[in-house]
Amino acid sequence: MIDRNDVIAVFSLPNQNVLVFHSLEFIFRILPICLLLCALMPGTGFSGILLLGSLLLYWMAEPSLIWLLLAVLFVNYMLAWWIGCCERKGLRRFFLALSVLCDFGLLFGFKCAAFPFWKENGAMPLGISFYIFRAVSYVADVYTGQSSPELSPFKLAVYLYMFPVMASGPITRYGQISVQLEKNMSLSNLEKGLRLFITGLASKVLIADRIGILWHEIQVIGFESISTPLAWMGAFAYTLMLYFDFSGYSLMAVGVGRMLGLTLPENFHYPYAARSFTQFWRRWHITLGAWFRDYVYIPLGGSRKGRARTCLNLLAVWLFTGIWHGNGWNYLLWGLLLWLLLTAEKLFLSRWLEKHRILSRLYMLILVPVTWIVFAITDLKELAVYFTRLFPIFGVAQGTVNGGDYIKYGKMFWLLFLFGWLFSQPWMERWYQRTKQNLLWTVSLLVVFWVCIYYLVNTASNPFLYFSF
Amino acid sequence: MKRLFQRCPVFLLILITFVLFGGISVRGEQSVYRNIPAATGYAPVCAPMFKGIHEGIYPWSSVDCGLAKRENESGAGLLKAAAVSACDDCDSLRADMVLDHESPGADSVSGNGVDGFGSVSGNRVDGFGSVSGNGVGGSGSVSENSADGLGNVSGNDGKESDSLSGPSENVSGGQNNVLDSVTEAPVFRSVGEDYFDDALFIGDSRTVGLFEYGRIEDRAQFYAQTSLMIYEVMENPKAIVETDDERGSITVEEALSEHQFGKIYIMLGLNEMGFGTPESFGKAYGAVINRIRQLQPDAVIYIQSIMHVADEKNRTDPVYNNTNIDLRNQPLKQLADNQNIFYLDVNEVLCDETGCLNSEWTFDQVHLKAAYYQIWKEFLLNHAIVRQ
Repeated sequence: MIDRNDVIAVFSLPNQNVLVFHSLEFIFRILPICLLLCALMPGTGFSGILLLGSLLLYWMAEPSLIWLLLAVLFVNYMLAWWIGCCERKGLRRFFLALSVLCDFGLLFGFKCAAFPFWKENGAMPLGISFYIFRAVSYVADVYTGQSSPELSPFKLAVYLYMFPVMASGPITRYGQISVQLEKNMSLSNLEKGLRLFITGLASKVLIADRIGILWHEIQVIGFESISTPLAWMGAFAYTLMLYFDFSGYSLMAVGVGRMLGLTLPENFHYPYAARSFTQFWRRWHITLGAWFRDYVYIPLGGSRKGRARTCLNLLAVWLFTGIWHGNGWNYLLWGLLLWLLLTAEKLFLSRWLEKHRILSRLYMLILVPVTWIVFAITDLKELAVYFTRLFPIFGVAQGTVNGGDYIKYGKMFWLLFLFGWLFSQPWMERWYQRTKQNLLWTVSLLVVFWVCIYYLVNTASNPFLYFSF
Repeated sequence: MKRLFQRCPVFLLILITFVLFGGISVRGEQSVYRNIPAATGYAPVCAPMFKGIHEGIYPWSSVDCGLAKRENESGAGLLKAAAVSACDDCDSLRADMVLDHESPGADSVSGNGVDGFGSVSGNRVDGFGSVSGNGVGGSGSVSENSADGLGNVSGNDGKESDSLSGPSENVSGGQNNVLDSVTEAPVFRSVGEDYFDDALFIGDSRTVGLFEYGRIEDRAQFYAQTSLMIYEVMENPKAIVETDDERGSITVEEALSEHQFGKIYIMLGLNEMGFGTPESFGKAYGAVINRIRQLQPDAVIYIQSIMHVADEKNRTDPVYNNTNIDLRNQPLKQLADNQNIFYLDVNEVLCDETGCLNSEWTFDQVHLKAAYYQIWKEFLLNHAIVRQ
C-alpha cells in the first residue's frame, strides 16, 4: 500500500503540508503515525517522542530553519534560568530585557526582511510569530514568579515546539503545558479530539474555502467595478471566511492536542455572537488577546492609572496587534480603527450598547465587516476604492459596474451565507452538548468527515491564511 | 467490541469506512478507476474512489460504464459533463468503448485527441450527419468511425480532410461569398457598437466576462459558459443557450440551426490546454468552424486568438503559459481564409511589451478585471469586416 511515490511525496522537502492540518498528508499519514507512535511509547518517553516528532515535522516543512528553533530555545532557556537563579532585581530585569530584545529582534528582523539568508519573497518562517510569543511569555512568567524556570531543555522545547500548536497557535502558556507532559492518552480523549478535529476540518473545508470563492471572484472583477450590494456581500463573505478559516484551524489544533491527551486552550468563543467590540475581542483569537493583555497592557499599567493612561495603553496594544498581523500600513490602520472603537466603547458606548439589544447587534453587523475589510486589503488605494463601493456617498465607481452582479452571486452563495451565520452562533453547540450521545451526531460527523475528504481530494487545498504571519 | 464502540464510535466508524473505501479503490484501480489520473502529490489510498465520484463513477457503477466513461474522457479530452450525460444509457457507451479499442493508435497522444473526438461523439456525429444531409455510416462502421466523424463534418462532399488547412479550403471552395476585398490581407474597419446587433459571441469564462462587463449584452448574443471547450461546444448539454419555450435550454448546434447571425466571434482554447496537442486542437477547432459555416453561411466568423495569461502565471505554470498558448494560436491563424473566416489577435492590445496579459488589468492572471473588457471590445470594433 505504501509505494515509492508516496514516500517521495511525503519526504519531498520543503513540504509545508505536513503541518497543515487540513491536508491529506496530515490526515492520512502524519496524524495516524504520530498517534500510533505516542500510543505505543511507554509513559516516560511520551514527551520525548512528541518533541522528536515535532522537530522532524518542522524540519520537513521548513528544512533550512531548524537551527533557529534550537537558537531560540537555547537563548530563552539560559536567560530564564539566570533570571531564576539571580537575586538582584536589576540583573533580573536586564536578562528579561535581553530575552525580549532577542526574541522580538528576530521577529521584526524577519518581518522587515533584514536577514540576508532569508529571501522567501516576504513570507515569514513557519510558526515564528507563535513560538516567539510562547517563548516571551515563558520568560516573563519566570520573571514574575508565576513559573519556575524549567531545568530540562527538552521539556521547554516540547512546550515551545509541539506540533499541534507549532504553525498557528493557540498560543499556550508554560504553566498550562508543563503540568500535562505525562502521557494521558485514552480512547475517550481520542474520540473527543477526533470530533473537534472533524468540526474544525468542516469549518475550514466546507465553509471557509467555499465562501472564500466569492471574495476571490470579487477581486477578479476588480473593486472599482462591483455594485454596492456586492461590496457588502464581499465584506460578509470575507468576514465569514476569516472566522471559519482560523477558528476551524484552531479547533483542529485543539482536537489534535486532545487526541494526544493534551488540553489546549480554546481560541474562539463565538465572536460573531458578541454585542460589542470589547466582547468581540475577548472571544476572537482569545489566546492572542490574553497575551497582549498579560504581557503588554497590564505591565503598562492597564486601567489603574487613570483614563488618559488607559487609552494610551490600549493604543500601544492595538498598534502592536496590528503590526503582529502583517507588514502593510493597512494593519496599522486596522489597529487604530479598533483602538478608536474600543476606546469609544470604554468611554461611553458600551453602556448604551448594553441597553439596546437589537441596535447593538446591528452595530456589530455593520462594523465588524468594515474592520475586516481594512484588515483584508493591503493596498491602501484599493482599500479606498472598496470604501467608495461600500459607501457610495464617498465617490462614484471608476470601473464598469454590472448592476445585477449581486443577484448572480446571491443565487450562488445564499446557502453558504445561511450556514455561515447559523454555525457562527452558539445554539448548535448547546444542542450538541445536550444530545451528544445521540447516534445521529456520530453518523453526521462521519458523513461530514468524508465529504471534507471528497473536497480535499478533488481540489488543491488552499494554504491556510494565517501561515505567513 | 460493543463497549469499544460506545467509547469511540466516530473513530471506529472512520476506521471501518476507511478500510472499506480503500478496498473499493484498490479493487477498482485495475478496472473502474483504471484511467483516473494519479495524484501529483500525496493522496490517500481511498482517493481514487472520491475522484471517481467526482467524475460520476460511483462504487456501484458497473465496471463497463466506468471504464467507458474514463476512456472516452481521456481519449477525447471531453469534459465530464458530456460523458456523464452519455452514461444515461450504458449501452451506447459500451458501443463507444468497443470502437475506441478497435480504432488504431488510440493510445498515442496525438492520435487520441482526434480519434477520441470522433468516437465519443460517435452517436452524435451520426446526428451531425443527418442534420447536414450527407449521412455517413457513423457508428455503424466500426473501424472508420472516428475519422469519418470528423471528415463528415468538415468536408461537404464527404471527402476526408487530414491536413490542417483542409477544412478551410473546403469551405471557402464550396461557398463563394463576395467580399469587398478578396485579397490576402483583410481590410478591417472601425465601426460603432450597433455592429454587434446581429453578432454572436461563443466562448468560455473570459467571454462570460465580456458579456457581464462589455456593455453589449443588449446588442449581441452570447453562447458562453465557464470551462467550455472546443471539443464539446456544439453539443454540450449544459445550459449554454436558454430558450423562451418549454425546452428550457438547447445546444449551440441547435441554436445555430434556428437563428442566423451576421457575425460570430469565438474565443476558446485555454481550458483545452491540458488535453490533446496543438494539432488535434486545431483540427477540432477547424471542424467546429466548418460546422458553423454550414449552419451560418452568411456570417462573418472571427476566430479570436487565445488570450495570453499574465507574467506570474506565465513563469510558474507548466501548462497554462504563453508559450503553449502561442503553439495553439498557430493552427487557429491558419484556419482563417480572410474571406469569411478572420483571425483576430486580441493579445495585440491586451498584453504589455513582454507579451504577457497586462498584470495591472487582471487579479487572477487569467481574466480581465471588469473595467478592462472595454479595451477588448474597442479592439473588436476597430477590427470589423464590413460587407457591401
